[in-house]
Amino acid sequence: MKPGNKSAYLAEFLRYGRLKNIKIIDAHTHMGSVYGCRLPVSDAEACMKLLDEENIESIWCSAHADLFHIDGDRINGETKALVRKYPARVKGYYAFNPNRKEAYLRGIGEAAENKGFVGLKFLPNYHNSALDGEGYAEALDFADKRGLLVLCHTWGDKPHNSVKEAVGVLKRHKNLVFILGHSAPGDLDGAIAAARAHENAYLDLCDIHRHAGTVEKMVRGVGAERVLFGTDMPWYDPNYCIGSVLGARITDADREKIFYKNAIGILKRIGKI
Amino acid sequence: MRLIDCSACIGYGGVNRRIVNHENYTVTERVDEPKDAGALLAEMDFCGIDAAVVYHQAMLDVSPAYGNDLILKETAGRERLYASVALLPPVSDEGFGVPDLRRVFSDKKVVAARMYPKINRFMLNRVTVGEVLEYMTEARIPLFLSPSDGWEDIFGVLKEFPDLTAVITNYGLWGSDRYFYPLARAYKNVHIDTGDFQEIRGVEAFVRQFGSGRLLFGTNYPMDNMGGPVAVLAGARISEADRENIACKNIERLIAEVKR
Repeated sequence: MKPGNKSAYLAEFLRYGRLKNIKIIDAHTHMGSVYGCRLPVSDAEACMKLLDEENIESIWCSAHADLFHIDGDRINGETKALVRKYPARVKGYYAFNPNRKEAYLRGIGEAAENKGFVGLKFLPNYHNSALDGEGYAEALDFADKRGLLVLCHTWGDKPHNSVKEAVGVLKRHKNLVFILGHSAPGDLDGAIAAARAHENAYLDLCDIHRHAGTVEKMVRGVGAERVLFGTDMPWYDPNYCIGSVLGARITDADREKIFYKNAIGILKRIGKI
Repeated sequence: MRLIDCSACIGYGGVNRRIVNHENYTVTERVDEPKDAGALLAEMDFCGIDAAVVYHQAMLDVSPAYGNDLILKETAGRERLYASVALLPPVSDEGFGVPDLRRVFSDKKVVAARMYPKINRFMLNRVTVGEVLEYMTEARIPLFLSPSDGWEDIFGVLKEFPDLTAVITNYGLWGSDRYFYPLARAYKNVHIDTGDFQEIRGVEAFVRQFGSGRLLFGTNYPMDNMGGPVAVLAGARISEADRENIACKNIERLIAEVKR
């Protein structure tokens, strides 16, 4: 049966199996294999082919190996290589691990000075360090001073990166742009309230988009202009997240912001375009 | 092409919705829940889904017997909805013996069963529910199982009942090929609900290895929204014949095969 949803973009997707007339920027991705799951598409070449197939213009990325492995001589080496090799398709997040913060702080200038990098990526719970603690303080000060983007993993019921810690950071840092990665599953209402209270905070669809009503709730809560498309590629099929946005009770104008315009706005704000 | 959702839930959760992230790990989040069949059908209309096999949240939150009564009431007279019922061990619980099941499944609206061994505190094995599983295997009644508390029950029950028609559902967003593939290779009647299937080109990879006869389009609503699974199927690089198998033909075949 034909859907009651009259989105022109949904009709296009159902007809062609992809979006053709709207570009997409994926603000939350990784690259490479990782523990836990078989990832049928995970290396850079296969992911670039996927971007072409799904009409995704570019991705903002932090490679798995840079997040989960500390290579003292090659900090963020995988992500740097991706940014060099695919300058039009990949923008990098500089992964910051506070457990070796001296080493990471030595190279943090790259996040600001390299046009191919958009900012910093934090995984506080994975790295067992509180987002609002000592471990991240200098990196956050740096990001704030340089007006960078910070993509931080947030999770409602996990220590170190709940909404409470994110709000602590947002209260102290007004110049950086902060993405609540995953929008704190288990505490989406808290993430929405935090974004509503801080104009430099964005909600991330990554993972959490899949639940019934999530996209609508975000758009109602903060407006479509502060919701970002993110997939965790290569973990998850971009079509699933695209479908979550297409299948939501929002307007096509909202969808354009979520898929593309908001990301462009951030790139302009942080001077990376 | 018709879209038949193999697994959607009706009813409000007691507080929030417990959602499988991956086995042994859940997230509790507020989602838009359909309070009744009418609300579910409205969402199906919006997303272009023709029919659905449904269960009731009260099967989990209250009891299988209570939830079964509700789902039979919700689906009665609604042509687009098929019912699935939750089962318990008849050795301990009245009303769940094989004669009871024969009566329940004589109603063509009832097309599948579910078991929740962990929350109902029983062992999913021959010792506990052997007579029920023998009947279901013989009658080709699909049994929906979730690995929300781990995969051991599923691997265990299929080892004892290798011909059981099983549908793996509500398994979380983490890729589960390392569980699916061995099961699909070993047991010809194992099927996968695509509601949580989010691997990149995962549908294509599964179809290449096992054909399209083992995947059932599903939404796992409301833990998942309906738009995501629809887009995964619509965007999969597979033949139209394979797409139609997944969209509707496989579940139609399973429903038709139930011996009443």
